[in-house]
Amino acid sequence: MNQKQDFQYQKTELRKGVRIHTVTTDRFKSAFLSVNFFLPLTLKDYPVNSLLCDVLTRGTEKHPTLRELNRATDELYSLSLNAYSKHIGETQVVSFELSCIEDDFTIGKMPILRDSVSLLKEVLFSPLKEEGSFVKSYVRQEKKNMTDAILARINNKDRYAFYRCLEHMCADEAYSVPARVLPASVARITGRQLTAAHRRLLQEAPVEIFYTGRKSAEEITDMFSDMPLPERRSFAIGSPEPVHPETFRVIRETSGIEQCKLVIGFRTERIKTPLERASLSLFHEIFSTSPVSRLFVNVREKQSLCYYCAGTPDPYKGVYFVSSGTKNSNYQRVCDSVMNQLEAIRKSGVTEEELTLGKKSIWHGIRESADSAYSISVSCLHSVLRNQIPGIGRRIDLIGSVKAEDVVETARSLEPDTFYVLEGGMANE
Amino acid sequence: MNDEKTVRIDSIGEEYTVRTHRSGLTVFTIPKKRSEIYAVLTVRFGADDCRFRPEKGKPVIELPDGVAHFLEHKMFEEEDGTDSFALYAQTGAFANAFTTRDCTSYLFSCTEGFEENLRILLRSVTHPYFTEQTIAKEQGIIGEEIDMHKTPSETVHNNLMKCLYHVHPVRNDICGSRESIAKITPELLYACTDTFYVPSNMSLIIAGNIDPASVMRVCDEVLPEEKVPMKAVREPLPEPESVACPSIEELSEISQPMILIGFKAPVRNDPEEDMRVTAANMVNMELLFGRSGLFFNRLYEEGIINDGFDADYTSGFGYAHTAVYSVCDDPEILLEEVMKEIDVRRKEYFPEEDFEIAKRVIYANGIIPLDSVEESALTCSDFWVHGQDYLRWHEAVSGLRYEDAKRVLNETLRKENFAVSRLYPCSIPFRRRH
Repeated sequence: MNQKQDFQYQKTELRKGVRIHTVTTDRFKSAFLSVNFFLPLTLKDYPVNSLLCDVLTRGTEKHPTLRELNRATDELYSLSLNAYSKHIGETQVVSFELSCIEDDFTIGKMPILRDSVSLLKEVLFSPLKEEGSFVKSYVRQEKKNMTDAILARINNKDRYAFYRCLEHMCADEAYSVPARVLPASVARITGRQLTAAHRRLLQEAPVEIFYTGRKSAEEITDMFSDMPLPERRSFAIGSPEPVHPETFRVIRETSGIEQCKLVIGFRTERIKTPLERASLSLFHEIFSTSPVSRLFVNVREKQSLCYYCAGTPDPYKGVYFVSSGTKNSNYQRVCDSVMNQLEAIRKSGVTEEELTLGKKSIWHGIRESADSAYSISVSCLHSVLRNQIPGIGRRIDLIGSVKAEDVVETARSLEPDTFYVLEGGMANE
Repeated sequence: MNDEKTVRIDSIGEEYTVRTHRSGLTVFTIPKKRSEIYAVLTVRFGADDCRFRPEKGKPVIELPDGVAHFLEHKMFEEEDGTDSFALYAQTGAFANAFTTRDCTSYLFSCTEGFEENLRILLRSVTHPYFTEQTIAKEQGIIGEEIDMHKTPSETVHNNLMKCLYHVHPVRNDICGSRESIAKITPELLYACTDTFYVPSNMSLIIAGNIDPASVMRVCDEVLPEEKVPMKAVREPLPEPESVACPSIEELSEISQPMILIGFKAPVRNDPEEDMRVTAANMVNMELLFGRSGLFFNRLYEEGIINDGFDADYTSGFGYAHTAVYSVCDDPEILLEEVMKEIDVRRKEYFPEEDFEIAKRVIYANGIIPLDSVEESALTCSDFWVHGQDYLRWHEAVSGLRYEDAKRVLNETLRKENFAVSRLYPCSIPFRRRH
């Protein structure tokens, strides 16, 4: 962002542990804002905070029912107001987000951002309560919805296979918490736990607020200046504990689907420095992402084994997953091909052309991330987590500094951990 | 080039310029201050174009299901054995393609090398190359794509289409089946490209920070000097107004039943009328089933539906329907509630105040996507395919009259034209193997 004059980044510390990051730009017709609370990722707290998000968005003192709350968002030109819990590496992030059209584009240029922020603050600070507790019927209904969502994981077999791989691979690690939440743990959540979780957010959890839109840093800071958030510790993301798999485990399960789903999980410790993380990005690009990548060309195009065979890196945790879908009779061939392609990079390296094309593709993605209010805010969040000043110039330079041997080192550092296969029950060969 | 026209809508800060290239290609440029340039070349040939005469007087060609999508995959291959993905990669561009019921679109997005990428796009889509070998290779890949799409949500949707339509190709999957794509030959693919892949049946839409002159220069370089007319005559089978069957039920490995309730609606052949009716239907969907409506909130609070509940209106060439979707413990209760609500609202429409707020929601939902070069270009393309101007959508919504929306509700949601697709959980437990 610092590269472009039409973006103005400013960081304001409202008070210790509560910071506002604003990117002021007139490029967009919509603005994006998120209030993020950072907490350790634990199996005990994760479902409580997820449920808390659902309950907080059910009703406020001023808009006590879901209908009244939704009516208020509709009146604000279909304001999108969401609260949810996610994880970045082994950190839990509880986010309250809003996306709305800029005041200049409402009918009659009606100003809506200030009212939108007020609504977000209402959800966060003034939820509807009865006798000091969250409304029991809301809690009960949201527990059912959350339970149904957990049970519905089997409906999407790609996602299901990924979660099962995660459960096996990171069984005792915080990283797999989202995959390990069970209906029973939702059923056990009490009203008291929800109240405590809410208090913890408001009193203790470090807060980072991100805004991208037409308003100045001063205007946004003014909108948040009355937030009852006391001082708290600042946030720093920790390094994951290194894990070295003893064997390459194979887990096979069956289901009634036609197409077999497979996920191969790897680990790497090479994520400690900015250069190591940039090398992982380039490895990912060259190995599996683009239509000229090793897996696309060799596993899909040359062998016609699958429609997709793609990797997912997580530089916060140091894991890399390759997912694919194929015939039952072909899953071992797909796995062998993936391993062979990895071995080829480890032994023979990558070409200068692959490196150049990989860099160009990543640069395209970095530049493109400045093209929406949402992606600018997300990029800012990741920069802040890494204690870096947001901006695309630094990221472009970093990718440019990666050498072919760095990519090979990343390939060599990947240790296969778990091969998860969800076999189809109906043979199609 | 000729008939250049610029359309600007100040209230939403949008504009485009449209030109017709000498080859017959329609070229839209949408100026946007962005790092990324997004280009999409759309051919009016989609999954539903499976019955046509190459020109008047010639015999009808009937295609197996999935040909348009198969073609989309094959257009990336060059005669010298390379593929255009490798060429795009030289500039770091992202390239892709997709097939819908009505069209096939080829696209790239880049932040450098725009002209070179545009050359690749125009060349690859106007220079088809197919052989028995390359087709056989693709049959394996697409076979896996077909299996990948066999998900519960696709199944419940495909079954509803089979209920609503007797003969319209919207009944069939865009990718076809393993059996139907096995029938594809180079001759069949060439028959399609010769007929439909002509510039006068295509549009090129480019959104971003671009110089329109450079776009026309590349078009001059790559495309034919003279207009090649599109002579195809589409010969769709007549689709009755009634539904084909009232219900399909199936078992699937899912956690809760899924239900999709469909209402077959009258087809509007006039593009202007279709846009007005679509705006009315979307406002009606918001009023009937939107998040701030009585219906959604009552059923949500009673635990009959959850946040996944959805309702939508879709129309295309020769088809139009509304679909109401939910995952729920008891699909019969939801069905009864939906039918009851429609019955009530047919008799007594919504208050004007609610109508105005619903319009505001649909209006705003059409503005936020215009921030993205991708969404702007694809929206423009989608409207072009249907003979419509995407910048008139906001006017169609804001100008919608209460009485018209009320009339459209009665025309669209008719009890005699509904069908239901249900998917129930089967009891096959997951088994662990050792």
